[in-house]
Amino acid sequence: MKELTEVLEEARRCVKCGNCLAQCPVYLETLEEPLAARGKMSLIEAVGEGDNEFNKRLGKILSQCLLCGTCAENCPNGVRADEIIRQARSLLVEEKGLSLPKKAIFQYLLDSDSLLDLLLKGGVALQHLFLKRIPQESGLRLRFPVPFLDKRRFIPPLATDFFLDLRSGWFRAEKETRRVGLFVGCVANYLFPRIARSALDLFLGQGISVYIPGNQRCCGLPAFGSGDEETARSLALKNIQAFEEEDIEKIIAPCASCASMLKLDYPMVFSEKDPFRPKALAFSEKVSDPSLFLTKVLGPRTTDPGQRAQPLRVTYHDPCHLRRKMGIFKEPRALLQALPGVEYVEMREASRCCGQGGSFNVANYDLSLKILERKVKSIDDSGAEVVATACSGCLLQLMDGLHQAGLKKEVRHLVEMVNQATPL
Amino acid sequence: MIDKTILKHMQEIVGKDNVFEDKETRTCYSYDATNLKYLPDLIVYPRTPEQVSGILKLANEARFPVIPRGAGTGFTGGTLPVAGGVVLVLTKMNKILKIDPENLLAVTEPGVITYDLQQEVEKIGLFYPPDPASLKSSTLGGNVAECAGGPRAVKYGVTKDYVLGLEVVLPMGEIISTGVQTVKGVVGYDLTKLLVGSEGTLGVITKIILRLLPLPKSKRTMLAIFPTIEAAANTVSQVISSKIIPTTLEFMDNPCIRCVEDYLHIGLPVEAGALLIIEVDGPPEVVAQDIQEIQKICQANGAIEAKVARDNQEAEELWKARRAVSAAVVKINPTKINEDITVPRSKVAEILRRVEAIAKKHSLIIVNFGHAGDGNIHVNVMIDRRKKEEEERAHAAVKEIFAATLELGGTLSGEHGIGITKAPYVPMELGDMGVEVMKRIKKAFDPNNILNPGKIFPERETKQAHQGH
Repeated sequence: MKELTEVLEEARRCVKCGNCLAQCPVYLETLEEPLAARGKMSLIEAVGEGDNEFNKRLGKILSQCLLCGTCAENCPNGVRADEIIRQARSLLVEEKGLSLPKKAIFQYLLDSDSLLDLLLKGGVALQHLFLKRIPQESGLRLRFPVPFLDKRRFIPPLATDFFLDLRSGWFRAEKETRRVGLFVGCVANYLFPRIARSALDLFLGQGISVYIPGNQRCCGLPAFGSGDEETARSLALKNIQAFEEEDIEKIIAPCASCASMLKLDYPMVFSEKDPFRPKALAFSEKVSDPSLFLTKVLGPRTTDPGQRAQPLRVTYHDPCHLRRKMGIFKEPRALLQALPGVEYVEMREASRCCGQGGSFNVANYDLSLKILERKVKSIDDSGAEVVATACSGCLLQLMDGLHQAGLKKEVRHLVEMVNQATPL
Repeated sequence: MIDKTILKHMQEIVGKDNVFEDKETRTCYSYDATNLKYLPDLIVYPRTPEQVSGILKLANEARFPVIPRGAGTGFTGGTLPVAGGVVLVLTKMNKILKIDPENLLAVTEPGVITYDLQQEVEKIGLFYPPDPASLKSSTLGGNVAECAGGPRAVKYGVTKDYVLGLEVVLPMGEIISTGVQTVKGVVGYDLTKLLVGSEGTLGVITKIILRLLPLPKSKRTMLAIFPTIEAAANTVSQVISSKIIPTTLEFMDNPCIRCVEDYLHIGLPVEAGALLIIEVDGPPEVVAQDIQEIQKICQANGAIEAKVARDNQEAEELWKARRAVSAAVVKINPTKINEDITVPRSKVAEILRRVEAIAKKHSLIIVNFGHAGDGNIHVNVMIDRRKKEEEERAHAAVKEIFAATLELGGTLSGEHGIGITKAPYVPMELGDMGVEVMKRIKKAFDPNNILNPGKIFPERETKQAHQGH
């Protein structure tokens, strides 16, 4: 973890030009300066200089950032405000401790070896007691209020069987050309096993053997983004160990948020002095997003529009973690454009954050919905029947938004789309 | 200064949700793009002129300062609460009230972002030309209060050339309308012109009537690189005297070219003396002819390169260097003392020579870029504000640069305004009597000096600024 003085030095590089005001999705909804990166940089400076303390109000302000990185992408001085804000959250947690619910979720549930699985398994049986089915859709809604979850929220049902319970270990391709590991991620494991299944089928069909360690865990991003570096490190260690014994060339993480955590954040979770750092670096080196990997494997492909009379109109939403953190935005589009029977349409502001932002959308649900509204409008105006994306956070958020707007459009993970269209 | 009674009154005027007294929110309104800091006492977000009026009446009763603020992107401290008080944040009054294609005008609230208005009017083939560098974040209210300019000023002028009328809440709380919704209008004093550029010291702008133009049909862009500043300056003079008025005529000097090349690696010749970016707009036939003519003038003046963009994408490539310059130069030193002197167009080469000599004399790094076409040069003294002695040398240099500017028939500020950073130098240009007349006007509008005190005029005492880095 970075010291306050280092974080202060970074925050001071902000010269207060105000360019970020034009970029920050949160500021643009509220038009209040504390919501923008510039405001937060000034507050972090004030803390560093002893003019302000880490208090409840400051915690609230620091929580009002999506960590989407749009400000950093457009900052003329190259200030990584998103990174600085995350570091400030860590300092706040170190000084004040985690909020009780976060502590419960991160340290006791996410980091426990079996509690989360057990609890969610109970959830599968009980979910219809707490949640009512939304007519004509495969979603659920809360029957009565529960802390931290808004009643309006669209909640996908838990999968009857969790992915990792059904499939783990080695899956050998018939004519093996490569070997990769699959990092499943919580949303694919508990809610949408079809995403992980698609990735598995897709790889096997391409002659790629897949190793799925059954003891892999949450990537740790929810904890890391909220400033709980201790839990993040503990989870990271378990994941690194889960994959380390096997001979695999890449570790593919279909969820962009997980991928970015595994690839870019793990090296930060282990400090220079940490004995596990070399292992973390070697692990991160291997991590890849599926679209980059698939583009290499599948090679250049051309569209074959002849297969369907009425092509399916598909648009793509850029996850912040894929586009801004990992710089990947051409490959997903190229993959979609090459799908037979698909007419690809680009939506307006495709790279604008959907407003999910991890714990942001739990702590600031109304704000999150406002940001989402604009995204939903872009999707609607594009005329697409299906929105493809590559991050489970975005997936849940877009489902919520489309549901609340009453729009009958599908949200799919990119690997599902490619798998459906790729003959085995 | 702000006690519980005032706070309660304020909450009654704008509603509880629009008043903030916590230190965290106040800190977020303590600075602007100068990166200087003064902590205000209260933050208020009004939504209507009536609310603004109520706040100003209260301020006159209880005698606390009120500082109107848009996006806070100013370079001279116009929105800094130097004497504490209430920061009146106008960002939430952000509706475009009317776009009238028959009368070529738009009516907006002050919080509308400049770029947003431009996008809206361009959809129907209209044009709002002023284009300050901050246009994607700055507000029209702030643009009007500071009389913002921009690269297109060469051909299209600045904000004041587009403001037809205003609705203003005066410092005592009265709401008045100034100006007209017509092309002509000469009834009484031109209060509109007086208020434009008054830096929030004479009234709070709550509505703006703007003149629009038809959107030019086409645009061509070129980049020309010259061995010396003189060659570039001669080119500028000859372009203007050949009766072509380009839309923009931007320049960068050698240190800027070096910084940008270092930053972007786009193959700029680092030995070059100066670089010009020239744009022309209008009907396609005329534009094609003009750009050819300008290319010839560049070549006649020994341009190393004079490249015309074939399409929008190439034009964007050419602009890259100019757009990156602000960010690129801070690599030299963290603090940029950014002046925006303006001289008659024919004196651009002369003032640059003098600035170079002044830089040498004070052992400072000064880099120059800006709007050569209208003589508005951004002179940037690059220092480290944490080194006090360097800052003192910089201030001495700035004073000499101002003296040289005035000697050549120029003005201290083309588009940034005075605020607090240039206030000490104002008498150099206006003279004591000039300042006195302005003070009398201020007093007539604001007898209790509650609206944005401590700005423009030099001697007012202020709280000690906490300087940023």
